[in-house]
Amino acid sequence: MLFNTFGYFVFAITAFFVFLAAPGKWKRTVLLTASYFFYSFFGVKSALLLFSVSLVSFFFGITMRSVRSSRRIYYLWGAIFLHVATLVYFKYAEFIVMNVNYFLKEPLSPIHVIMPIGISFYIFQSLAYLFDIYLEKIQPEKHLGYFLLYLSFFPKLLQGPIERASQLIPQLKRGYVFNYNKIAEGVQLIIVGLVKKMVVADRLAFFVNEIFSDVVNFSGLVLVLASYIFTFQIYFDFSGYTDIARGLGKIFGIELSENFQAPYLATNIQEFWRKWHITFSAWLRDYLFTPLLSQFRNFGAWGVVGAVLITFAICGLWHGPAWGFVIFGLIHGAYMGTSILTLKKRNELWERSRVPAGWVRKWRIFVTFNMIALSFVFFRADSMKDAVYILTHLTGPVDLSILFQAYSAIEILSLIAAVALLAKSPGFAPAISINTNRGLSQQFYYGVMVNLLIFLGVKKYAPFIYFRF
Amino acid sequence: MRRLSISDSEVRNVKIFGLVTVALFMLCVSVFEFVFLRLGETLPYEDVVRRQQLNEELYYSPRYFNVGDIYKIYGVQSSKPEIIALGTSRIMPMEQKHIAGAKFYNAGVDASTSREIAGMLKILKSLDREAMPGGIVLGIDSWLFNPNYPANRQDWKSRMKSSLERIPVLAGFYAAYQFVAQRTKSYDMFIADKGSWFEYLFPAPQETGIGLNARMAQGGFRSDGSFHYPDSHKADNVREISEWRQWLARDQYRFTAAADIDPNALNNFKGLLEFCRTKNIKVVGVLLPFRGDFYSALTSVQPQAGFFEKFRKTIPSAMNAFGYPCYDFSSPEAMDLTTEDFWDNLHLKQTPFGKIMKRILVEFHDEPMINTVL
Repeated sequence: MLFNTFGYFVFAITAFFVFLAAPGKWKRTVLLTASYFFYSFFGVKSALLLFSVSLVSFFFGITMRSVRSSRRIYYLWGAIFLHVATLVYFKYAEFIVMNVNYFLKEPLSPIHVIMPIGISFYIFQSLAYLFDIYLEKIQPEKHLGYFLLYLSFFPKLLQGPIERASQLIPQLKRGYVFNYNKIAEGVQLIIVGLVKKMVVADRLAFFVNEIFSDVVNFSGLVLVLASYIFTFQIYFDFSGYTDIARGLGKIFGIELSENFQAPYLATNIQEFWRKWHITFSAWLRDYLFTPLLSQFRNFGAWGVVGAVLITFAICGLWHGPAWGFVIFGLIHGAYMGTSILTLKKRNELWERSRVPAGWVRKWRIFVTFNMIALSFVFFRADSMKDAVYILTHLTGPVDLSILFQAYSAIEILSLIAAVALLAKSPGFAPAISINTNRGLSQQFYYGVMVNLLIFLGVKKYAPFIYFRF
Repeated sequence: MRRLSISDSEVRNVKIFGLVTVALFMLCVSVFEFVFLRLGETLPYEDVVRRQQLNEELYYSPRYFNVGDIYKIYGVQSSKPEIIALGTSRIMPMEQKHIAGAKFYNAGVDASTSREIAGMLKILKSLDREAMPGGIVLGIDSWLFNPNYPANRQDWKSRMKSSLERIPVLAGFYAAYQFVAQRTKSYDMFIADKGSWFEYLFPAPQETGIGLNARMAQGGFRSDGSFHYPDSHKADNVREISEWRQWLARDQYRFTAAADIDPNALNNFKGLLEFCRTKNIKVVGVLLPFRGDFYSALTSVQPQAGFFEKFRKTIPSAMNAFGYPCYDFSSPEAMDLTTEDFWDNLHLKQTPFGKIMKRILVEFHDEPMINTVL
C-alpha cells in the first residue's frame, strides 16, 4: 500500500475523517493506530520490529538521562550497537555473507532475510533521538505513546523525511486546530507530489528501465540520455514522495521537513548535498561527519577529506547492500573532498577571470549537474559491470530512435508540459517559481494538475525508488 | 472539541477549484471522445453494421477498444444468416465465399476463456426468431476447457462479477465501473500510441475503414463478420519443434497443463448444445488445425499432450451425444495444409477454410431450416 495506490488513498481519507471526528485527546491515539495499521500491511513482523526498536530507544533515552553523565556514553554505545546490529542484520546480512564467502574456502550458508520497509529511516531517526539526548539537546520523551508516534507517523515512515525529535514531538503534543489553509496547502502538495511521481517519474522510467535492463545492447548518446533521464527520474520520484508525505503531514496538522530545494541548481557539490535529501544529509553531517571531524582534527585538510570519505561511503551503503551504492558514495566523497580543498582557489580564479558572475553560476550548475548524473550511473546500474560498461561506452553512434520507440508524441509533450507546470509549483525551484498562491490562477493551476494526473498519470503500479532503502 | 469552521471565501475557493477541475476534465474527455469518434473507434455497433451492409468492402477494426459480442449480435440480427460460425479467434477468418449458396455470418469472437462458451450461448439467446440460424459451424479449442489456464480460474474477481451481475442495481454500477475502466484504458493506450493517428482523423470521402486499425492497415472485420488480417501483416516464422516443446513445458498460459477437462466448461458447452437442439439448429463442430511445428510439439509434450488428447475425445463424444458431428482437423496433415496456410502457430489464413468447409458443408445439405441449396 503505497502513496500512489488507490488503497492508500482510501486509507488516508478514512484516517483523516476518523482523526477529525475523534475528541482532542484521542486524536494522537487515532494517528498512532492508523500508523501501525498502515505499517502492518507490510507484515505484522515488520510492525513488531518497529515497536521493539521504539521501545529500546524509549527506554535507553530515559535511562541515559537518569544515570551519571560519565556513564551515559556506555548507554549510548549500547543503544547504537543494538540499532546498528538490527539494521545490519535485516539489511546487510545477505550482502556480508555473500562477500565474505568470496574469500572463504568453505563458504558460510547463505542467509535470506526479508528487509522491513523503511527500517533505514526509522533506525536513523531513533539514533538521532539518542544522540540528541546524549548531547543534551533534548530531554527524553517520557510518554511512550508520543514516542511511538514520533517514529511511526505514517506519512514519513517509509521514506522519511528523517525528522528530529525536537521538531516533531512538540508538534505531536500540540492540540490539533482545524485550519483550512493548512489543509489546502497539504492537498496542493499531495497533488504536486503525485504529478511528479505518476506523470513524470513513472513515465521517464519507461525509457530508463528499457536501457538499464540491457545496457550492452546500447552505446553512445542513448546511454548518456538514459543516465540524464534517470537523474531526473530519481529527483521527481523521491521529491514527489516527500511532497505527498509533507502534504499529508499538513492535513494532520504536522509540519514535516523539506527534503529538496532545487538540488540540480546547486553550483557545487557541497551545495548539492544541502539541497538533496536534506534531512538525511543533515543527519550525516551532525551525527557522523562532525564527530569524525573532531577525531581527525589533528590531520588538517586531509583529516577533513578522510571524514568526508568515510561519511559518504556510509551514505552510499545506507542506500542498500550493493557495491554500486558504495561507489556512488565514494564518488561523492571524492567530489566533496576535492571541492572543499579547491573551492577557495577556484573562487579566486573565477574572480580574476572577469567572466560575468551570471555565466560563472550557470557554468557551475552545468558542471555540478553533470558530475551528479555521472555518479547516478553507479546508483542505477543493475551491476558494477553494467556501470563500467556505460561509462566506457558513452561515446559512439548518435541514434535516438529508441527514445521515439519508448515514447509517443503525446507522452513527450505531456512530459514537457508537466515539468513546465511543476517548475511553477511552490518550492520546486525558488529561482524560477512564480506565485501560484493567489486567486483564480491557483485554482486553475491545480485543476490542470489534477487533470494531468487523471489523464497522463501512469496507472501501472510502480514503487518509489527510495522505497527499497 | 473545536468547531470545524470554514469561511465563505474558503468555501468559494473550494467550489471554484472543483468547477475548474470538472470543466477541464470535461474538456479533456471531449477531446478524447471527439478523436475516437472521428476515427470510428466509438461508433455505435448498429451504425458500424449498417455502414458495412451499405459498403461490403468496409473493414471494422478499432485500435483502442475490443470488439465485443454485441457487434456480432447486431451483425447476425441484421443479416439474418442461414449458417453462422461460432467459436474462438481461430474460426474468425471463415467468410461468406467459403459457404457459397447459403447466407453466412461469422459470429466468432476473440474468445480464450471458458466464460466465452456462455458468451456464445448469450449471442444465440439474444437473437430474434427470424434471425436464428439453421446451422452453426462451431470452432472449439482446448483452452476453453482448461481448468488450469489462469484466466479460467474462478478467482474472486470473476466470482464477484457474476454475483454483481445477478443484482440489477449492482449490475448497473458494475457496468458503469466497467465503462469507466475501459475508457481509462483506452485513453492510456491512445496517449502511449506511437502510431500516427492524426492523418486518419479526417478520412477521404470514400471511407475505407471504421476504426483506426482498419484505416491504417486495411484489415479487420468485414460485413460478413469474418476477420481479415491486413496485407501488411507478416506471418510468424516457423520454429523448431524442440523450441515449442520448451515453450509448452513452461506452462504457457492457454496450454497450462491440466489433468482433466473443466467440468463447469463442459456443462456450459452441453447447455449450448441443448439450446441448439431445442431450436432445431444443426451444429457441426470443428477442431481447427494447428501449424505443423506446433502440432508436433503439442502432441508430444506431457502432460500437455495428455490433456489435448482428452479434449479431442471428450468434445466430439459430447457433441455426438446430442446427435451433432464433430470434425477433428487438429493435425494439419488431415487437410494437407502447409506452413504457408498459417499466420502463426494457431491461426489459419483465409484460403484453407475453403478446404475445411468443403468437407463439412455436406452436413448441412438436408437441413430443412437452410433453404438454399448448398
